Amino acid sequence: MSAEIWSIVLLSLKVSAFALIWAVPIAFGLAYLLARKQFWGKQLLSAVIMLPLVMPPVVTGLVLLYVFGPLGPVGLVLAPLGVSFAFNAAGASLAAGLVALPLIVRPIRLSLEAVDPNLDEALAVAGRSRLQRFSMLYLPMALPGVVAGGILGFAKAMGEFGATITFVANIPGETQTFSLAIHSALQKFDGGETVLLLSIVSILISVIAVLGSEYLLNWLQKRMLGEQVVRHA
Amino acid sequence: MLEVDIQGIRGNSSALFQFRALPGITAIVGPSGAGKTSLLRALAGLDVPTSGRISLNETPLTGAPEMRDIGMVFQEPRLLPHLNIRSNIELGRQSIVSIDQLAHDLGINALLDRMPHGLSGGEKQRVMIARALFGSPKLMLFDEPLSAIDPRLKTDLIALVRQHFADAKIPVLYVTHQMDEAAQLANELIAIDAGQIVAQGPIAETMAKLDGAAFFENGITSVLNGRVAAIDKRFDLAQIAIGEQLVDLPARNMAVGEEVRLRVWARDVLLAKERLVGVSARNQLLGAVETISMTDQAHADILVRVEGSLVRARVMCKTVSDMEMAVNQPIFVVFKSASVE
Repeated sequence: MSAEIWSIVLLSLKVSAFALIWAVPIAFGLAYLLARKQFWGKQLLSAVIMLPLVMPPVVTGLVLLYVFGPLGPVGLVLAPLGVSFAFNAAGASLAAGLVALPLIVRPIRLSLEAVDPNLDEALAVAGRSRLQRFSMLYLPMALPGVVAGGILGFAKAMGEFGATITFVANIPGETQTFSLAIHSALQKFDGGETVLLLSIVSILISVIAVLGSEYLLNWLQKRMLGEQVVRHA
Repeated sequence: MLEVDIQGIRGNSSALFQFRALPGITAIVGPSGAGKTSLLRALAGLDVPTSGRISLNETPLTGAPEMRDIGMVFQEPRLLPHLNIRSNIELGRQSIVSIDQLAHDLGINALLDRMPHGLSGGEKQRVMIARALFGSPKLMLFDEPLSAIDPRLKTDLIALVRQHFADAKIPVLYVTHQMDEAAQLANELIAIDAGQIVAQGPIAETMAKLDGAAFFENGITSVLNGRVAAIDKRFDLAQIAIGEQLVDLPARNMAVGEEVRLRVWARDVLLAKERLVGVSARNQLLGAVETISMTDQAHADILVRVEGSLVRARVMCKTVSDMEMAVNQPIFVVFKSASVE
């Protein structure tokens, strides 16, 4: 495999990994809110979280551009701090994570909704604080959802195209992940081999991710032996 | 000491509970929907009463459940499926209680390293009791802990609860809808119905005041307190002294001097104006008629005071008139069997 292909693979993995690093904790928080809290505007929040899944990705990219771009409100605030999302890998992670967010939130929300509130009460009566209950009960019970959501989100981030190209363009070595590289290679007269190689590698990574998640979910299920584990994917 | 004076609990807005509970087991008995669980939830801080106050050892019991130092065993075991039994008991808490000693006392030492899923309902409830005791609670609450247990295992668990809590130095409230369970465990009884206390006091006396199927699912019973006076090894009989009088019952594992509690079913009690001779029923206690009340057109309940306890007998109304029964009249209470705790 050529150095060029390797760098594309590594960049894609890096962008997707960073996308998960920020998106999973936020998805967990949102899923917790939606699963366990009652508040005004809950339906609206739920709908807004789902938006990147149903909106044209190009529009998601445009929204990012207007908000996080060099002239956007958030971009302007962050610029003096030296943080920029313009045309770099951080921006690509932001776009990939946002598009993946709804896919991560959903399985976590379902597994949190499946937690028996009676267990929470029992822990409270046994003297465990809210925070302790969270780490003892909700976090471990949501783990299968986190794994399923993480894998789904990772796959989505790896394949992200529309929002990324709109927000951070298609810059080799900076923002050119799998889909963008395949797209570029397709435009070239002699790009056939690159297209084939990139496609094979991306399929391989997807297969490994899915098998890995199956293995992880099985392991989690065995740990609770017999207990029904909510599975999605 | 627990002092409760509360009005209105979620789902039971008309509830009104006012009582005191001393260390030892107080049973709270009432039919389904009477407000028993609501009461316990209010004590645990899981629901907030509309008004009133609860105090434990003269300190107001307020705030979140985790601040209350309470041990609670629920109707269904509430174990974390992803933690083994040891962790389910400890829950990350420090304690002066040795978990191995506790597990040994509760008969679950072989289970400590297992996961909850394979345990029986009875074993899981033992683990819940261990979890509660591990926290050295100042108040112990049982919310119908046997309702989901195989009937054959109930006896064991009742014995275990009695062994661990009958002489407890903290108040123990034991909620059940089965008077039988209460009679086997508690010294004090609070009977509630429709969110109100209908009777409270020492169990034998209070049970005798109650009537109606609402409180006695397995038939109306009375309680007599006695002491084992002698054991006849040849016939495996125990002579039990009830006040000045004696009755004979199978000795099983009784020891001389032991305090026992006899439960007598109202439908098993015969009344006689004179001591019967030539009958197979061995037990005859002399008492005096306390009250006579008609339960319906055909039946009457006779309460007989025997050595300070009240025994209820259910007879036909015609019997009352044929025998010319009257209040304060001396009468023999005859019964063949009794269950002994």
